[in-house]
Amino acid sequence: MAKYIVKPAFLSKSPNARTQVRGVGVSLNGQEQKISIPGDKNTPATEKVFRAASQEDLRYLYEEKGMTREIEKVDEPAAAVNKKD
Amino acid sequence: MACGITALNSNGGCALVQGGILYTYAAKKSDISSITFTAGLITAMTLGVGAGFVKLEYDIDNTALFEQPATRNGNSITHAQRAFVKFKGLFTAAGRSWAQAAQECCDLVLIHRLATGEAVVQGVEESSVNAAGFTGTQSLATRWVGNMTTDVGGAESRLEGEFQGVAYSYAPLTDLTDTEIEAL
Repeated sequence: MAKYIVKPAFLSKSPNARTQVRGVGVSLNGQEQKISIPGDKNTPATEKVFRAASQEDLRYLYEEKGMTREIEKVDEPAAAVNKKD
Repeated sequence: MACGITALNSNGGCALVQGGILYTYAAKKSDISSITFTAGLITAMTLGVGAGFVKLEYDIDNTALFEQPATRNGNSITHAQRAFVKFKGLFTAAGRSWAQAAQECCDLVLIHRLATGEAVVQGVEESSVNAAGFTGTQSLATRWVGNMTTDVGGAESRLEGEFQGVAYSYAPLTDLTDTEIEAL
């Protein structure tokens, strides 16, 4: 079964990389990220939350958005077969 | 991109030909970690730092535009990208503060929403050699070049200016929606 991972080389260059999936912010480093947006006299300060990307998020980004530079698809080893007679 | 010349026809209908840009999302190029191009169209972006794209809402009075006329010098063709925008009444301390900070950015990326619904990305060029998949405008970086004018009595005081840069290729379009851009 295929698994999708963020390429370590990409993460080493951009350890706090984030993107979006269907309009929802996602973090690519495996951790939730919070970004503070400073306010001004007209706009209150806010916070953007980027949830850790799920396998489905990574699949979508790789397969449907073409993010092959940042994400790779790896084949997980098949489950061990019980060869017991 | 390799040479290609194919049939093209704009006589299929007259819908959605409105000119002008409605609003713009802006970010520093250095905040963008990578850009994904699919057949020349930007389909995804990642950001590594910064607060994301901010929205610039300028006057809707038939003045805002984006253009990219080409100039040929021998075998080199460059596109002078230019987006003109105007903020009425912002000859103020806040307007000055915004303009001075914008002027000090070395390389900007702008996503302009057209009246037709399309979105064009100023300030980037696709790159097959750069690990991030893109560069800024390669001939001249994209920066804010502005003016604060009182104008004359009977006219508008305003902050206005252009985002200017020079690229070796046409500015790419993107299929990112406003919701997707704001989520970055």
